[in-house]
Amino acid sequence: MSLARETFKEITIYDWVLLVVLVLVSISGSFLVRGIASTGDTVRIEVGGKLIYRLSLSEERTVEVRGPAGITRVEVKGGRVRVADSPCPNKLCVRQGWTERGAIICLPNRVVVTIGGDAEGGVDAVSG
Amino acid sequence: MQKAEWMQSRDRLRIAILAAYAIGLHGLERMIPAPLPWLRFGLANIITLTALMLYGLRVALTITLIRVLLVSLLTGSFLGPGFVLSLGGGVASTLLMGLASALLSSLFSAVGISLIGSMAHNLTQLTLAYLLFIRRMEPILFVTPLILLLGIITGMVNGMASGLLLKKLKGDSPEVKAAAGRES
Repeated sequence: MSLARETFKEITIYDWVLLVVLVLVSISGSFLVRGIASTGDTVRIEVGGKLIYRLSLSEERTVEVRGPAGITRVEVKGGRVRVADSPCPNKLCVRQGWTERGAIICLPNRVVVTIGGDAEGGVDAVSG
Repeated sequence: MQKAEWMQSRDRLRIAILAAYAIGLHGLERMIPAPLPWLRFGLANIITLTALMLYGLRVALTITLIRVLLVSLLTGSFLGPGFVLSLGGGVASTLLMGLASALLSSLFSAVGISLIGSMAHNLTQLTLAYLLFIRRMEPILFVTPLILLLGIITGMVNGMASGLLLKKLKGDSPEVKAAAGRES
């Protein structure tokens, strides 16, 4: 369709520059956070910023926490963690599946599961 | 006086029609299962951007507010966390796109403006999520690059869709414009 081609031609050089800059920034950013993404043996489960559980990744366990939307079930197994069940509408946290580094966030139920980053105040200094 | 009134009611009609399109697209998007958990297409932004380019910031901002409010009432998420994020992201991206199209329209086409809007939307939502709900920097930082990268893709696609729509509308007379709007 020629209208589509014309529209494509209307994209300016500055659009392309902006696109390339943004892609570079976010890709280098992803490497950056991968570098700082904590790996460790602890799993912190927080609801609304309050620490509810501190578990070990090497210990198989299932716990339930209550948030504003209901009960979220978190499962730790084989050095990984997942949200097994959540009352939130979009289930992003459940669909993220088994995770071994970084974090799982469930916004509607205010649940944050963080792996590692428990090095005695190290992370708290960052988040403080 | 009479002319001013006529202008005003014409603006209201535009706002009503475009807000209805935005809500329709938003609803359509909710029905499509997202291929990636964090991917949001932001199709309603096509309407916001088109309205911004054609009728200015006031009309675009009104459409955004109507859409966020009505969608939250329809889905029962009014005043919930999703609503706060939608409102913040929507208003911030509309304002920034307005600023960009006012100051930088000689540099950027609809695609560039759309990219700027997408960045504003995502960064505002991440900041709000941090301030209001999560309160921990690390998990937010961890998802930020992925969300921005996905935002670049959707911003690009939406910007091209908006550019196509603008081209189509501008190529036609006002009467045909209205008809083309009704068809699509």
